[in-house]
Amino acid sequence: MSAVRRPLGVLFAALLLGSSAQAQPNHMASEIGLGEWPDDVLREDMDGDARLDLIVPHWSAEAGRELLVYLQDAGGHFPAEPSRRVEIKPEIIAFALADLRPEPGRELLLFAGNGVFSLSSAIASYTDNLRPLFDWPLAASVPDRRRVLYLPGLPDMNGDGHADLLLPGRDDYGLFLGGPDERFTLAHRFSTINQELDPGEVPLGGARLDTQLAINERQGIVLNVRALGASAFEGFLSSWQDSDTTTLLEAEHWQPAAVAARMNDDDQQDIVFMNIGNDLYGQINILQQDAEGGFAATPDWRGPIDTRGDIRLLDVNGDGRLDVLRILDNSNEWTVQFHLNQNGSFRLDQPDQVMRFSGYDLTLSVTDIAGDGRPALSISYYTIPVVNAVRNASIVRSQLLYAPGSEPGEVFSARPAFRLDENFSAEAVRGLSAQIDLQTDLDGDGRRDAIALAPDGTLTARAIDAGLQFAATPFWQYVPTRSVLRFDVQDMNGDGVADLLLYHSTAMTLLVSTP
Amino acid sequence: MTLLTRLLPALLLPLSLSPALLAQESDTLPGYRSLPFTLPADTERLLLVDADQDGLTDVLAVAPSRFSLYFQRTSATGGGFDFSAPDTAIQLEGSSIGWELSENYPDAAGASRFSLLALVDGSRVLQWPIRERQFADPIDVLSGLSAFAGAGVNRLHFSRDINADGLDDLIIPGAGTLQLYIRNADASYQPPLAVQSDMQIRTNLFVRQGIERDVGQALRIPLVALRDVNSDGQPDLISETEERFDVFLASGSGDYFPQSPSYFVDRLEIRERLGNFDFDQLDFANLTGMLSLTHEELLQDVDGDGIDDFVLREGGKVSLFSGTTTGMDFSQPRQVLRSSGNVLTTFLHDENEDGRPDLWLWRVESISVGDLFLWLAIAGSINVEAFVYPNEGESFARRPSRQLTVALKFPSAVRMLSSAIDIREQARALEEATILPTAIAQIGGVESTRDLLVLLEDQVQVFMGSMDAPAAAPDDQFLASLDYSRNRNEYEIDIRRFIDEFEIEQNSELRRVEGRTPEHRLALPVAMRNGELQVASLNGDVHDDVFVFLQRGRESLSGLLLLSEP
Repeated sequence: MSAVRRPLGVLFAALLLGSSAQAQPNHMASEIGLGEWPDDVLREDMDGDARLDLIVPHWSAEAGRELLVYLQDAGGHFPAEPSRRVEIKPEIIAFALADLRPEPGRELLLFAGNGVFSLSSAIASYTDNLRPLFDWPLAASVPDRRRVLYLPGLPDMNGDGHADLLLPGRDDYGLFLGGPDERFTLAHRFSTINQELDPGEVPLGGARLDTQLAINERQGIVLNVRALGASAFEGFLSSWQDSDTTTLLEAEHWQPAAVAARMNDDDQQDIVFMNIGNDLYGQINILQQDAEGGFAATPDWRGPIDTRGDIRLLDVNGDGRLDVLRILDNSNEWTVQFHLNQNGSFRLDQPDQVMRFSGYDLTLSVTDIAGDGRPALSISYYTIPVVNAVRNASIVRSQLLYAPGSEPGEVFSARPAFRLDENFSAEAVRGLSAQIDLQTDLDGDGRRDAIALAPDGTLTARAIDAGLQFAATPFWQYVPTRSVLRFDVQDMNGDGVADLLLYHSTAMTLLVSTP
Repeated sequence: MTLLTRLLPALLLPLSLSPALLAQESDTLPGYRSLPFTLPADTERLLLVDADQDGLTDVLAVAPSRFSLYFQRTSATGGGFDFSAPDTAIQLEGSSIGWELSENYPDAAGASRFSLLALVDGSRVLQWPIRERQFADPIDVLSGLSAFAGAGVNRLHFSRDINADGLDDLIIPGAGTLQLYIRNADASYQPPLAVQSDMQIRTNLFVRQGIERDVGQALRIPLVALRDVNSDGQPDLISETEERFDVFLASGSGDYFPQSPSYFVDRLEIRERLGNFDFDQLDFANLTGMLSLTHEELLQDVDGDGIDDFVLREGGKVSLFSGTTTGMDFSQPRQVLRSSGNVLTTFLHDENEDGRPDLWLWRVESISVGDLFLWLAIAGSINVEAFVYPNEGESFARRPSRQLTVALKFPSAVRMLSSAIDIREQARALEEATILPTAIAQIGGVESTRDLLVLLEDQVQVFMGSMDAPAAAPDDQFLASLDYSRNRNEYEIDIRRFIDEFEIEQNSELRRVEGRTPEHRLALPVAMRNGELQVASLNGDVHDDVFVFLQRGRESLSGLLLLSEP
């Protein structure tokens, strides 16, 4: 949600101002089937025409795993049937998309258990198409029969215009720098596991729980939960013949994740990961990219952090460097701690700001509403007033906006500049299917707008003024013919005008602006 | 958590330091030998096996790519173990090794030997027989494979007797499939049979914001189901995936299984017929109406001829098909029952105690979106009804003979959420608590009682006869959870009770010995750190043997084996 999207032009607003009960005539409507994994639908330019195409993962008993590519034509239309079908061979575990070959459009990077390959979707076969790029023992070794994983957002670590790969291996990470002619060079290997720590010292996560659900005639269902001491020998001893015979294989292998991100002032991508420090607390580690594009063998900066709660990396103050957020929840009480990035280091023992919220299912994002590089904080949560629930079976969704801080030490203002409490009853449940989108400048006034599903399922857009107030009435609305469960707004054809992607239950509708 | 539970460890610890109050500290237990051991730090597990087939249990230590055997000596050779060095060990090379143990493979001389088997790099299966207490040279069992057994070294239960001929066969995991290799008497293999497998795979290779997440893969591959479904005495193969329900009947001649299923149900086709979920078709006044899109398949003998029949439920329609010795007669259902309402599930169970399985059809009342909103804030109840269609021999009665109602009572969602937080806090508080490792074993010779062993930092305390012998497994009957009886038709499950009574027990065994003096105290050679007690039976006598695992560090892991002396 924090990603900065380029401002969209005024044309869309001019065309959409006013209400409409159906798709605008200046928008080309296309509909395609969503398949089993609607969240995995991708948008990339696959044929090099500067228009985004759709990639839909698909599985069938006959064809196995496929990527269905729907190419957008010059008129903004998507065909009902896929333009290309890319077979995913059984050995493939994951894929990514990058511009690797001189031919226009993006190619596929295919990741198998022991190597990485490239493939063009423009060629219908693997023959004379599949190219081995390099060997790498991936952290995952067994492919899923029905689904192929997608690795999004390949970084350009050194700014040379070529996609790079930060790949987890069996025991460590490898940074592969991309170059011309599909060349990838292993530039750095590092472990995200603290190698200095004696395995005997690694905290074992406190007590284990032994849960037994017993059924007996006297007490009915009896739930017995017993605490077991932390043990370095859990499951260590067993008898060969007592083994579980319902499982052919059970195995798992995990390591802390690493993220490529800009962490200091030098405009280069660095590497961040979290593990257990020598003091047995959680620890954030930063490997900073040096001027020559190299990395040190050990982290340039480390800092201890309490690992309870969700720990996220997010640029909250718009300086282009990722900050650290720690979000703690206790039923309906939430505490958010902001730790600002200080040129590649943090004061993790002392948050720069602490904010507290009361509600359920808190959602947090930052968005540069005014487009001035100073993001506002958006908070959304639900409350369930008992009186409302009993009287008319309804809940309340609250949307709050906090302006950038104006006082010293404030990341965001302590009090919300805007608050919207909406009551949703059982009849208005369609309005709950998607959160309010604050990332798009729909009317082209240089300010983001609030796009939301109204209680009746109508998609509406309201302006947000300089005081972060939502306009009382929408400047645009669209009444879909089918329920919208999720929506995205993106410029699909590069004309600077926002296009709409509406996700229904079994299909999606694309509304692409036309001249 | 009671105050007593909190204080118990603290009470026990000072007691252990008062020699006047306690038994003399010693370095072993009466009737036991104490065998300290130090193993390489990378040892991942110990397996108890009788590798030399002498009736005494040996210890196989498994480390990445290295298998080490410690044989138990017979009393004639001094008994016990020598943990100073393995008696035999082998090193396996490969990035992916799935291993298994078996007694059903002959060695090069044709004698049946305990063997280590390994699927190496997914391409070949090797066997290392144990001969004269040594790993013999490997024997090629099968090669030219294309398999996935996960990265690293993993236990792979891939060698088992599928066709009950006394020879182990092989189940080789592939990409979403299992290849079954039936071994012939001459050590050759029949052409492999490929069956689909719904592997449970959880993979994460990338994180965007949440850096506390890990990357890697968790994998579980279920074994195939084998049982005789057509009453010919030979195990048949039942393969279930999301898409298909396949049955391969064993054949009397030629290859054991046919290459295609003897009969199958296409679950995709059923789902297509029932229709896909569409939000726009959802009846907000009856969300449970979605159950009409569900289906289930039961393979079970209904008519008592020993051959499994097929019960197919599609929404509220239940069809019964007849099993034959050669397959399933899907041409015409023997019976079709239709139920109105929202059918949740069906199963077969003898209700009227006539020895024949009856059909239980469960329905759930209509639930609206309004109900869900209401239950967010206030407690609710859902009635589930069971209709029992008695088995009349060839089929079920047209009308149910009995109707049961189960009221499922639950607290509001808000209350459940707050209870979940309370439970999480209870679990978190355990991080601060001292929980002593304990084990219940038979150290003394009293059959009717058991002894409690408590592992402290520097000693093991033994409280003789302090625990009850394990009770025979209760003869739980069907629906015992509801206090079920044939004379009662109204039942209740109250989830609120679970929440109200929820408590995590700590040191519960120690309550039984509160105030008691341990009969034995065993001094430990090194301090215990995150250790554990494990009970085993290694030499066949009536006394349990005890592994005392003390600590594992960068260089080694250490412990103590208390081995009873017969």
